[in-house]
Amino acid sequence: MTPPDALVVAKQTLLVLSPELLLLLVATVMMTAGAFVTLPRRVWAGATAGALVAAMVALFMLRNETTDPYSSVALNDALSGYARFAFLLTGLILLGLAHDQVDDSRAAEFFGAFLMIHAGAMLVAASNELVFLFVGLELVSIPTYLLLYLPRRNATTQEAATKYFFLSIFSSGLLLFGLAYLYGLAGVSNLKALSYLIHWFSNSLPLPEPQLAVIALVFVMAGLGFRVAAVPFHWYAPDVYEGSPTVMAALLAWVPKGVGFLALIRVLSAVFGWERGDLHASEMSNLSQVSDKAAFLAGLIAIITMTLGNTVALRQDNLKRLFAYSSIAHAGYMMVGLAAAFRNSPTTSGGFLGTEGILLYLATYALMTLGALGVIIALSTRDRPVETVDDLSGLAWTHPTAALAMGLCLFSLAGVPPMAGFYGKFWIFGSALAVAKGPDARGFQLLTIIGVLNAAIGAYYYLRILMKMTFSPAPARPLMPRPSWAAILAVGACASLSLGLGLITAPLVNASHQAAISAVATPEVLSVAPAKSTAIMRERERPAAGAVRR
Amino acid sequence: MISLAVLVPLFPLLGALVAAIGGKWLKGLSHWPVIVGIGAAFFVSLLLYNSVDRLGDSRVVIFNWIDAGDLHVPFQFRIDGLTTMMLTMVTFVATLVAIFASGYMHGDPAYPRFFALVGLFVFSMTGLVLSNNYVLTYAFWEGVGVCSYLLVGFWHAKPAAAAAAKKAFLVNRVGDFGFAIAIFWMWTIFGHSLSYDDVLNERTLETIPHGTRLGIALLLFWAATAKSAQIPLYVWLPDAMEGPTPVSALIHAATMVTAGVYLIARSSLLFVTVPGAQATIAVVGCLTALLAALIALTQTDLKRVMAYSTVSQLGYMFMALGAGVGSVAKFAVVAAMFHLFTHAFFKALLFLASGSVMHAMGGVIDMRRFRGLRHRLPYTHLTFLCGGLALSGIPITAGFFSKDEILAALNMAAHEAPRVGIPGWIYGLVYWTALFTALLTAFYTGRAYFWTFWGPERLPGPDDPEATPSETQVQSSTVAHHVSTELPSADAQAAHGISEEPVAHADDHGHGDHDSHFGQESPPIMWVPLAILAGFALLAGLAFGPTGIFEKHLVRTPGFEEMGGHAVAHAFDWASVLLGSAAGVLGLGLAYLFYASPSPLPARIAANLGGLYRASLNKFYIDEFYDATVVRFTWLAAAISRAVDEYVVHNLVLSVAWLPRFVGRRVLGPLQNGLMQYYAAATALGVACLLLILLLF
Repeated sequence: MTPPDALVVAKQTLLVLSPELLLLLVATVMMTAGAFVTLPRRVWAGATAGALVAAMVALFMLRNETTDPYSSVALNDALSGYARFAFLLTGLILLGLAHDQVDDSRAAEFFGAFLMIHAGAMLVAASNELVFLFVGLELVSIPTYLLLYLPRRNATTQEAATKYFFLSIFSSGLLLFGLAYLYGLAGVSNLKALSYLIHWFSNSLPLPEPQLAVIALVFVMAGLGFRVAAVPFHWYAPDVYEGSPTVMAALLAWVPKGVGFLALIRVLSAVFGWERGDLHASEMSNLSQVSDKAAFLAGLIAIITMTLGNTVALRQDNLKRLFAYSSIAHAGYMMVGLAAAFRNSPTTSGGFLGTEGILLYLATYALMTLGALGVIIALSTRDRPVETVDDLSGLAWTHPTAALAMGLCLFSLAGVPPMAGFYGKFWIFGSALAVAKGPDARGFQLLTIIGVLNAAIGAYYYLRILMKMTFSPAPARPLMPRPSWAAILAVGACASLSLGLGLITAPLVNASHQAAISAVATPEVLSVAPAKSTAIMRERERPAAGAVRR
Repeated sequence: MISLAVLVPLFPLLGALVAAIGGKWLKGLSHWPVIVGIGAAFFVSLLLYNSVDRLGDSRVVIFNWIDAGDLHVPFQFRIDGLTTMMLTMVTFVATLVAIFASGYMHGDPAYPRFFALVGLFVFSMTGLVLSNNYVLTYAFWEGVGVCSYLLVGFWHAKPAAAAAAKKAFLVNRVGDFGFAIAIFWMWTIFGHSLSYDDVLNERTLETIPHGTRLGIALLLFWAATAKSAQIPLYVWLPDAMEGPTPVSALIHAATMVTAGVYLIARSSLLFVTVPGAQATIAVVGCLTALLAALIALTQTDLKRVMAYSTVSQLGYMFMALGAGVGSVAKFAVVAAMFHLFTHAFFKALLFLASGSVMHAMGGVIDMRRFRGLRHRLPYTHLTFLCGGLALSGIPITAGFFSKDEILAALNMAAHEAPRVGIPGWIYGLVYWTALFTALLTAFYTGRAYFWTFWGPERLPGPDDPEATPSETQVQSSTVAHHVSTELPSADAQAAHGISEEPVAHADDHGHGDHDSHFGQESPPIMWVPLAILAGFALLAGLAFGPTGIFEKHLVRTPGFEEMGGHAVAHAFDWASVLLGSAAGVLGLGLAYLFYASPSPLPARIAANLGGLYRASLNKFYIDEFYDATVVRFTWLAAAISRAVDEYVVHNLVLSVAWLPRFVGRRVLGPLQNGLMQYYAAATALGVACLLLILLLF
């Protein structure tokens, strides 16, 4: 790459990343200033909200900017826009829930870390390069350690933070190992370039080498599986959720999961996706073998994740533990979508259903989980926390509005039509059935059946909460909620969107469809600058060089 | 202009919604939105009626309703002669009934609910006749069924009303089943279209095998027998008078029972091609008419007499529809629809007048408990007389013209039938039975009239077991339903010649303040609608029949003009006219002789015809027969199913539910032991296992 080209690409990249840069800037200022001045937390929370809104505006204004997919580390495609917007929106919702959960003395650090997490999540969504992606992931993880520890300092929180810290580091190691192998496949770290090579030259180049690819697959899956809380990398989730403040449980239940699945789409399914009948990669090609193994791996993890999450959740009485297992179960459903996403290929004009299903499910999952945990946060006070299912007894009669919001979110979580959660499951399972063709059709069908059975099991523990809320007498110690308007707004938004996006599905379906197309596509070369084309050509020639080197 | 069609169902629906939602505040004014809504719908219907005469028929798609796979069902309305005729009639009668009800239901605690349901009922019925495909018709068909259930069971605290509502609904479901099968069948053979334009199309019909057409026609007729109360599914209609009397008027005249007749008339292009189905319809209609008339002869409950009369008159309509073989087709459909049209007026009138009697008698409707009311209730008396004359088919009343047309159609069918392979004697038999039934009709009408309004005056006493006790101010919905097994007076007992009477049904209505108008004429809000209906009962036949207005309008329905090939000139059938009129006059005369003043004749005849009399009084034991066969069998099946559910399915479900719980509690749960080093090791082990699995397989 010649220097002028590099400059153009760097400029483009920095421009499309300006929302993240803005968040990081505000976060840095806040954390620095927090050491010197003491301001009430509402100032910091206000600054955070302002930064999120400003980032949203910036994102909107940059919606037509593009970067060169084969040389830039960040993309501003539809997937990037969809996911970054979702993170900013849920950031505002989380802020509404979190703004009064921390003392004034630690507010600056808390909200600074909060912003950094969201900047990291957005970087992952935009990332197009292995190292850059890893940086984004760590930008989510490291401030999370801080956040786990900041709001409340007692033994259980410490234990939770420590567990999360060590296991997270461990998983990052696994991920890094996997990413190294991925790089070793073709010698490129640009993901679109990698996907391009693998897909368009699969018949002429022995790419991807199956043994190496499988190691990359398993380790990347393990590293990211930790973030999405997929079995057997889920161990931290119940303990950490239970031990940390509810608002942190809400954050952990959503942000790492969203980040993890976006990374899985970017790194694995878009790279190793293969569709039957692909002319550029025949049935016997390396790509088809690796893709089959990848789909099998995702399906296997999906089955054990769903089953463990749902069955163990059946016996939980602690709400945070229950939602931890619920979040594990939902990771399992989305893994079904990931298995189907390994059947999306850029070289065929086939569907993008699996990827689309994951993206749609993520959005609905965020709303319903944040909504349900948000109700718990809004109802809790320091003197009278809401800890167990029994604490919600009779809620429909004592606090009908809160019970209504909770009910909407629970119905959505259980996948009852016409809630948004139903459409999420519908698309996921529909995508798994749609790709069930050829020799592995039975596998996908089995996967779907197990998924649906799990959804039925899952309905039990959500409906149990609903039943407690309506049919049981109120607990002896009454709840004394003093929810702030911001929390009410956040919960209300979650609950009404959980219903509204189920009634009017078109916007979300269209957006996730566009995002899925852009995630899978290997676009034509952009002619950004005159010098550009040669650089791209060189990029394209690289496979040959890489093959020789290997 | 045509797009106005959507307003016809919309106005009653809006009225119903306002009454339902605003009922809490409107209270006693809840009838206004509904009356205005139905009235407005009537005016729109008139506009549509006029537009059809000027511009011909048309379609309007409101929105795309179902679009799934091969099934495309637009929410489409059709405006043609048949539809606008029905719309105008339904909304007109319903408006008058609603006005009457605002007086009749005055003071009922559930006043807003009543009017909301009436609005909904009219909405469903107008939607039914407007729809341009079978699926939409079916949807509204069900809507009509639900509304009738809710209205018949309006006083749901009364066991008899609740039972009647349930019976009406269940019996109708039996019919709906036939309709549903017919729709599925049509969908498969008519190129996946259920639009009337595609199904009722001579070119399409020609391509369908005869057997298939016959099957579909019979299934549609099955559906019609339930809604329009024909053998074998008529049993719900007489019980349905447990609802408030205006509801009975609505059901019996305008909104519900006409739906079946409408369905057959709408599909007549299909039915004309299968003479076998037509003959079946004629015979079933004929038997129904005769049976119901025989039962009506001995009933002592005024409303029940009217209910059986409706069944009988519906039988006439089906006879007429069934007469549509060969070249008679068009004439037969016109005759049937004309009878439906005139019947709506005089039957609504008779029911409302009965309601007016009941209103004045403090909730008592058993004819044995009152007599000679003609001086006390002058308007009711006169209007009832008009309705009775029309029902009896006395010349120049509405019923005379329509009944004459039916008889003429049957007479023509007897000549035409052999040409399409049906023995002519079948229609001949039907014709003579219809004439005999006309005699019976006039007799039981006269019996009800003379018994109620003539003879020495008598009112039910305040201690009458069926009268609502006024001093306790009991709310209508909580009034216990009294049954009486003894007759209050000796001469009534003599009139019947038997001491054991069947259970008599009382119909309580919503008044806490009976005494204020006990034995008095109803207020103008009630008798003015009666008077309007009486005018129509007397003159609608003359105005619409011989002038040809009705026929000219009705044939503006696609396919009707050319139906049955060459149209035969409709000659005035003098023989039928004379015979029909004679039957009417004779029947009324006999009734006068027997019932105008207390007479020993009825008792003597009853005693001589002991078996037949008891059979008629007990409705030929049809209900008992159904109870012993269908109902018992269903109960048995239900008991078996319940046992299976309780002992087999329940335990199966429990054991299935036990599995995930067991897995969670005993197998997977304990893995979560809280030790970080264990978690890390398990993660590493997991990676290793997955790697191994992937590399090996």
